[in-house]
Amino acid sequence: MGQRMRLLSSLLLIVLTPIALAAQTTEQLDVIDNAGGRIRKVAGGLELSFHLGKRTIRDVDLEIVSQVKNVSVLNLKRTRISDAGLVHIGNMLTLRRLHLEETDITDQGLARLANLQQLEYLNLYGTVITDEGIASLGRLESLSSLYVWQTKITADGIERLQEMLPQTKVITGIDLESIVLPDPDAPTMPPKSILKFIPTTNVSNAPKSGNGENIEIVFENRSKHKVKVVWVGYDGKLKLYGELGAGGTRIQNSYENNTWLILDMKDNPLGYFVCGDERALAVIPE
Amino acid sequence: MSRYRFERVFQLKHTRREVLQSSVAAAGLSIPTVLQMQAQAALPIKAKRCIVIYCWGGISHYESWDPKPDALSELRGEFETIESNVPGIRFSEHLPLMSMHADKMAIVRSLYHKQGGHQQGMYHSITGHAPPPGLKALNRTNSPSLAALMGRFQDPNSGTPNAIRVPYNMYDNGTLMAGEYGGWLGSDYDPILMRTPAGKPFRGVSRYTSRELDLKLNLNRDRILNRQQLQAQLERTVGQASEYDRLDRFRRMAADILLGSDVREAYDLENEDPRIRAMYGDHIGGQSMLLARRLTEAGVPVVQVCAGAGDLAGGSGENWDTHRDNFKKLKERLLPIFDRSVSALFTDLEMRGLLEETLVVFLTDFGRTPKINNNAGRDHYPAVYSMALAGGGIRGGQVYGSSDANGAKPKDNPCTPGDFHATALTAMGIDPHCELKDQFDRPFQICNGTPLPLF
Repeated sequence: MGQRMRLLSSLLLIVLTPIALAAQTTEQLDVIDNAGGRIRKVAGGLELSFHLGKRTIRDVDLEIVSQVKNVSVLNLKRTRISDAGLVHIGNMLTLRRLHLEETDITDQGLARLANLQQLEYLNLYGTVITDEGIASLGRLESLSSLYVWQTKITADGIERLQEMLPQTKVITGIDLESIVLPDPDAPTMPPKSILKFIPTTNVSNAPKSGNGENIEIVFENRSKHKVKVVWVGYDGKLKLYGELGAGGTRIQNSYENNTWLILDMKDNPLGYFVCGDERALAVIPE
Repeated sequence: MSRYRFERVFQLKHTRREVLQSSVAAAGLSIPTVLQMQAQAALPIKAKRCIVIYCWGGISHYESWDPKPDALSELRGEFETIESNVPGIRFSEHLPLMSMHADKMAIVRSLYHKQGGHQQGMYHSITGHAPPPGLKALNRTNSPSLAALMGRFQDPNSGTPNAIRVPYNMYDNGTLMAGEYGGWLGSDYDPILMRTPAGKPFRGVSRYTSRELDLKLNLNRDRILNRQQLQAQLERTVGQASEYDRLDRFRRMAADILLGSDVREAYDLENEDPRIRAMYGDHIGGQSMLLARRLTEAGVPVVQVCAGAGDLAGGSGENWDTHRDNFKKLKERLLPIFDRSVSALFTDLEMRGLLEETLVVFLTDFGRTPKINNNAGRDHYPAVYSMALAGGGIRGGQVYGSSDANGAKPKDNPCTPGDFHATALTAMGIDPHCELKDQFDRPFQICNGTPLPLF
């Protein structure tokens, strides 16, 4: 960072520090800092986030954190907090967005959030919350989005909550069991033919590639040396696609009538292949 | 103010850097201006992350988001249209899954510019600025891409790049394209290219260079060796020798990534539930979208995905440059992969509670000609085309602007790539008209468009 930026940053700190951070005590800043937390000014207050990096915030720390004034966003995603921490979060009455996904919270802890009247967004995905837990949210009339994917909440529980909170959008996500996994034993298509290797010592003998349908070439290097696999362009220009070690194979997308030139590692041509109209094996001979 | 508090703030590294890199600070404004801006109501920041999906080659507006079922037969093409989950919005019949997410999307059907070539059209779409004459890739006078520019305003944790691209560089017949780099922002803001570590490749030509960051190579090996290898890889991402004095940043990043950052974990797709991986499809198009979700979730502010083969190669491979066999290519491969991967991304972001704060931006070079050519293809057509936005505070289920009955020119609310950029920047809480300075201290207004009313 240049001198100018350093100067600018100092000046900005003088201006912005009292605005963003004046209300925080040293103790609060210490706790946030030690847990890898970040403070950011957002519309309507402060955002405190602990979900990236160290994620070492503990329930006991939340007693201090909950005393920070005017916090509108709190992100505890994937941290180790549990019900004991929610006791303190329940006192953060300015909260509008609360991330508790993938934490160890339970129904008991959730009941402590019943007074967060300004809460608009609550993320519970990946927790063990049940219908009983969300029943305690019935008075959160500002709640516009509730995320419950991969919890123990049922359709009945959601229906009961919606009777109390008809405006809340409850996002249940998809049922993972409905996704069909690909068959790992599905056979890969064997090459249908073998391309002719045309030896040459002169690059200009290899014809320019022509157009055609998409096919695949399986290169197999049976020589004792590493080689280069080079595509001869439609304009005759050479493009290196990769190197193939002795004994190696390489599956290559190509097109009908494309020319593939094989060079040794000193760029001397060894030979070339011209693709046909089907998946083929291209053997670089011994 | 006590000196003590001042030091406290400095120890709170991220807060300090956040302040530094906020749009206000980055704009290089004077202190009185800063105070003035503070006095006004803060701009509500809705999107924290952005995924840019680039349809390289120019996706046909006819066959995607602006079908023309009532046009003459030589124009309308062979596809039917389907109703989306928003009454009145119809998509191409080959976007059946995406049509169920129209309620999340704002489709802009009245974009236009004047660039008929891929390089020029892509540059205009991806930077929001008309291309200068004599455009060359990696030129530091070029405009930054949307991803690079958005990344410039973010302050991710250490070991986390500001912006990442996957899985390919864009090429046209072997020529590296200008536009998807940091341009005058400098090499610090070049989005870092990463290989997607899984998925069947797009058919056609996709060029890998030695410059991609391939973290997979570095898993499960000796840590010190890893660090050197990764450092070397990161350094290769820098294009020009003159920039090697800026490599300290990459050295630090290499160390941080290998010390077990969230990014490293996110990169390893083996950590993902196999059913989620299957939802995106086993193609690199799907796995790249999944990687984008994982990376943004892990704190990378911007990820750009090239949705198609990396080299247009004369329109021969699986990219959107459908001069030949437009319908066959779109129906059999391009649209199904696109449809499945984008829909999976929407579903996944939504159920994790990420979509509200993740802006998804679709960009493309231009549209395709209304007239179908003799090879059953459509050619380049910048006079009107469609792009889309979703999530991140964008009001879904709407169409902005329209093209005429033949999809030949804008009818209502014509708008430019600059306007589209201004909208995306605004969604990210970035003032599109602020100024940034280049490395020579020259001020540039980052965008010359006007935000569209899509919020």
